[in-house]
Amino acid sequence: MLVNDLKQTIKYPTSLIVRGADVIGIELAKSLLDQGGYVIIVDFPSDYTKQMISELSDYSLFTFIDFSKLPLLEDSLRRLDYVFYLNHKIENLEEEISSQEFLEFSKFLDLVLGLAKNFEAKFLATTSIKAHQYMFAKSDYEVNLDSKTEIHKVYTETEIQRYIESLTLEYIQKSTLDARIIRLGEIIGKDIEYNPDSTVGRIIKDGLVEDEITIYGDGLQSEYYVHIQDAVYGIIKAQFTKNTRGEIFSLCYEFEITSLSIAYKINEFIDPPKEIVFSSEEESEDIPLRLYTPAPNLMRIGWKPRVKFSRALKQTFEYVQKLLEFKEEMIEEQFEQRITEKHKKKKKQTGLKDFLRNIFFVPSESEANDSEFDDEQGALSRLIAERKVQENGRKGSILLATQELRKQNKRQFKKKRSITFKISNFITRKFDNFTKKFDLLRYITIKQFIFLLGMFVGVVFIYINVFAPVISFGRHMFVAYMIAEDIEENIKIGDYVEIQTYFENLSAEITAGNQKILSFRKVLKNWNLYAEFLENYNALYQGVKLLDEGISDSYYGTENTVKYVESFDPQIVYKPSGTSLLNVKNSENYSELISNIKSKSQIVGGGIEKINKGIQELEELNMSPVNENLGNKYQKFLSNIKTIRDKYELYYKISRIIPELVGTNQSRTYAFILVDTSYYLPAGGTPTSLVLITFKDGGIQEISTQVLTEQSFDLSNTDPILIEEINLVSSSLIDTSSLDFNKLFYLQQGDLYLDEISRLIYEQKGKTLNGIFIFDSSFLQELMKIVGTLEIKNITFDETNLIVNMDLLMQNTLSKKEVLNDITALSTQAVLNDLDTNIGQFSNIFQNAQNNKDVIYKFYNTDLTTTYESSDNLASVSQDFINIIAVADLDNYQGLEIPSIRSEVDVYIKDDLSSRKTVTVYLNDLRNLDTLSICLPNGVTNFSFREEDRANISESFGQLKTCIKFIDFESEKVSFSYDSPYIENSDYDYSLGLRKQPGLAMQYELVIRSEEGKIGDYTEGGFVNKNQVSYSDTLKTDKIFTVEIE
Amino acid sequence: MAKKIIYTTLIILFLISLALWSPWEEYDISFARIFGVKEIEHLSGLELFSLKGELELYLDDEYKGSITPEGGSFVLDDIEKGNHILRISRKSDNPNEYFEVVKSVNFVENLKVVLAYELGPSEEFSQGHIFYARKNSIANPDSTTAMLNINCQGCEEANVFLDEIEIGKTPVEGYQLDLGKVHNLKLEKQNYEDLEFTILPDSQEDRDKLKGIELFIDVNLFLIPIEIEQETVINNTE
Repeated sequence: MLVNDLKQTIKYPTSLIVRGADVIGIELAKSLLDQGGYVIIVDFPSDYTKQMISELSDYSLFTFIDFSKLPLLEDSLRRLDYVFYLNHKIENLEEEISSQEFLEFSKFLDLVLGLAKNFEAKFLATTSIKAHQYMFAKSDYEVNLDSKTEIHKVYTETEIQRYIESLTLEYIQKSTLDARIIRLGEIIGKDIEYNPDSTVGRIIKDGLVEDEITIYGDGLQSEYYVHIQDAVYGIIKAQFTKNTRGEIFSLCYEFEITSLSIAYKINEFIDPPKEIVFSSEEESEDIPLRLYTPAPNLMRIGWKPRVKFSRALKQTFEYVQKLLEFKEEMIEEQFEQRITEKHKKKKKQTGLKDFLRNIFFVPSESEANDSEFDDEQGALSRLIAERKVQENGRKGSILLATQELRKQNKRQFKKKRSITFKISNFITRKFDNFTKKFDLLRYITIKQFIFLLGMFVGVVFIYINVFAPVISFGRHMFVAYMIAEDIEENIKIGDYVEIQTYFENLSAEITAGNQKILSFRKVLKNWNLYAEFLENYNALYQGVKLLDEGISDSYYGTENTVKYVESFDPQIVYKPSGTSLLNVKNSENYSELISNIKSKSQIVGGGIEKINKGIQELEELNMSPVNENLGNKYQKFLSNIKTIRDKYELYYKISRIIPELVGTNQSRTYAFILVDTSYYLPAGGTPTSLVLITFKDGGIQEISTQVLTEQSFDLSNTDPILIEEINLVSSSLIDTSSLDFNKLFYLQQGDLYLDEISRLIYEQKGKTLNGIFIFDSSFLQELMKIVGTLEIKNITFDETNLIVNMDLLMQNTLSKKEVLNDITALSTQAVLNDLDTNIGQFSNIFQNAQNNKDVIYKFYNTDLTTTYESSDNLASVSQDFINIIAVADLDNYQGLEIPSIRSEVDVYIKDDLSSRKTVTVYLNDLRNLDTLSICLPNGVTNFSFREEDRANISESFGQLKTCIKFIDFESEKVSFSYDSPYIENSDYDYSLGLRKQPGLAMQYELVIRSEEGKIGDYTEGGFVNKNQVSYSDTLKTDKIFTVEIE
Repeated sequence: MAKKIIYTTLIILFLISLALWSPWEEYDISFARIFGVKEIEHLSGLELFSLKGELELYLDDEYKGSITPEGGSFVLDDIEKGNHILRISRKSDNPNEYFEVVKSVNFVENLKVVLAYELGPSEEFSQGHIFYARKNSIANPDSTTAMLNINCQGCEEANVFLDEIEIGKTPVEGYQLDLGKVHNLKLEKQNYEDLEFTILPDSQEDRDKLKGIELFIDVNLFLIPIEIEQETVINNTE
């Protein structure tokens, strides 16, 4: 039980009070217990002790052990903070102590000091000032240290006191023990242990019971006193005050008090005062000590006596007075009982213990004299006897304690041999050594430590697996957000290398976030909110991953294209006075780059597909419910991705074209012909300017420009079939002799005139063309957006006024052609010299022009021929068609606006799917019209014309078509009807193609009606009403209309 | 009290900062890594077959090796998982004589990418297939099927037959492929040579590794050259 109690001390500040079963010890214990500490009092378990410690019975954190249990403390205690060794009380300064006793006592003291040292407790020893005084005065000191002494002197109590101080100081010097020594003055006050042999005790007794107060000597012998409460307070103060290690203090009133002063004071308390007589006899303890200098007073550290000496003395007087009055009978009965019991016990002694006990505990008959009890002062004697028993008991107990220590060491030695003990001891020792190093762990038990360790591991586990992933997920999302911002910035400056890196980082962050979320899957999979969040996040993850891969692939595939475009620098020079307006200075070899473009561009298509899939995944997410601002940011991010995709799509197109366009290890020559739409012709307009460009190894090898006139080429070898085609729309009959270069542009079929021009260029210049481009002035005007403002012949041209300002040059057609040639040359120079900057815009302009038939082109002898078909051959794609062809009078300028025409076509589909058509063409906006031809497929029949048109009509028959030509216009419109046979087609019931003449704005209204049967599927853009579908629009390019009839 | 609040705040801030940093994420603690050896679980592989001529393989622009039809297959085992650029070219004396296959392929740990090609002078006259995979992080790992996607480069609308049953036309997307057996895949398109091969590993254990995986097959079909016949051209000039 004791052991378990002591193990609990680890939770509380623990104090050990040795020899604490007296008033000071008990008061000290109360103070410590009131502060929440654990107190262990070590003393002899006499009745007196039991009576004293009964005052502490209400405290649960208190343990009493006798001296023999002290050796157990080393193993049982887990904590010891303060040790109080109270050895200030001495009954008889001259009482002799045997060497054996001294030795045992020293071992005991060493045990207590060792205990304090091991537990790193603060140690405080109390001794007596009087003993210290006595020692110096009586020269016991000299006697004991005199080596010449022949006879061995015995030890006295004063030497015990000195030994305590010496050993304590030695421990302070040689070890880490934090100890101090307090020398107490004579204790006075209420409830003290009254000693009638002390000076004050004797004087009080004389004052109470004697007739006179006897003073021994001259009454000037002085002593130091302290009130009991002040003594307790002082002891606590000394122990708890810092920086008192190694100090010796006096705990007493500031000044010594003479015995004569005490006598006078006592006389003040009694009535009538007693006579004070002086005796020359020497009292054993009344020694003149005039030259004694005590240790520094405890006042030095802030202690102050709270009870004045006079009051303390009065309390002592009153206490002794009461003591003498009330205790007489009680003490007499108890004392008699005790004597009887002890006499009985004496007979039963057996072993050493009993022998020793009997020696120490049983007062000898010489000491316990019956005659004394009969004395009227027997009560005091009984008190004295009781205290003597207590003191003797202590001595005996100390002896037993040291014996017990020896026995325990033997048992420990035996115990050490068992494995269980070894292990337990090992663990305990290691644990204690470990915990001592950390203040926080110092006072915890092993169980508590294991529990705390388990808690710590659990907290760490939750931190790493729950808390940290959530925080880390937030970090990843924040970083991803910042990366998205960086991407937007880099799009603005066009740094696609950085964009690719940022997307890699973005994907890494989103992937890391995904892993964080998945780490909770096993636990949270059945929680709907988590499942929904996981699904949404997975869409984000998949989308971003696809974007990263797509952008990475696209970047890889277009890297060489970008390099080529960025490094392309032909340094074309404009020379207005030269034969050719343009010359190239730099013909760099880009063959390696071109070769890489061809091979690597394969993956760009896949990359763009991944980007599109990624966009699709991300578009399905809606961030607005989370936060509106975030939703807007997210939409902006998607928009940025589309910009990136568009950029890569552009470069992908370029990647597919460039290797074939510029060729590797072979030359490629292209012709660019500008036609002037102010003279509208079936091919767009009259030819004005020619630019020839030859590429080799990716660079421009040669470039030339030329103004085109009717006589630019020799057409004597032109195929007669072409002349026939020209005559379909010409107002006058053309033959080989009258055929000129302008007339070639009367051809309505792109293949025909493009092939012929290629042949002519080859014939004249010896150059085999790989491609030919016909572009009109609308396209050139658009190119001015890249070129900027030009000033030629004092006229300013820009994107808004090119065509209008051409009017200023109409007086001289050749001059106009020269100006257009200049503008064409300068535009070519601007686009090619800064291809990196212009390629995007040029590509858009070209794409728009292609959609509006402002540019027509054909490739020869390259793989591009399979990709890009010639773009003006409606007859090859639609079996039923209507070609409305307007030919201007080339001798008359038509005006400022782009020529425009309006037509109405009514198609009536019969049951057998043949059709009756009515075509009406309005000529209001068309000036200087020479001929209007409407070409139809062969096989049309049953024409009917208006009377007013009949005279102006001629029919011509060409390759696969029949043309109705109108000349000499008197009305604002022309109109006719005809029958078309049924043309079988597996894909649809009826189709009709309308051709758009390049350079001519055409508005149309088309109505397709069926005789029976409702209109089913039809070409987009129409308005259906039962059995008819109507269209009304501007024809931008050739268009085919298909209809299903149910 | 103020000190306690300050210390508590500092500790909380420290814990949040540590969680933000999470240095333990960067350390992949495993025995393999301690001894400086790459763990096989994180690696992928590749197997290349040549159907004609000597094929050279480049991985991320780095030459890896070559293989001929007689040589069986060329195997690479230590490819890091993730996206890589594959380039396959046919060895010849003249540069640019043959079409080069360049592909961005995703490598999944523990799975091999399989390629088989015959490279002609252009894409149309080349044929072959590439078989690769992609992991779906939220796919059901206990599923007995894998998602199959088939793409025909330059030959859209090719008929796809799986174990002689037509499953659709290319591109095929999201077809649930049973992992219980090896399958026979055949692609047919008019004017192209048929392409037929088996897919999935022989052992069930290897097939089980494909659970929850998305499989991709990119195919090139060989365009059959047309025979040019003499025809009478009818000239309609009326």
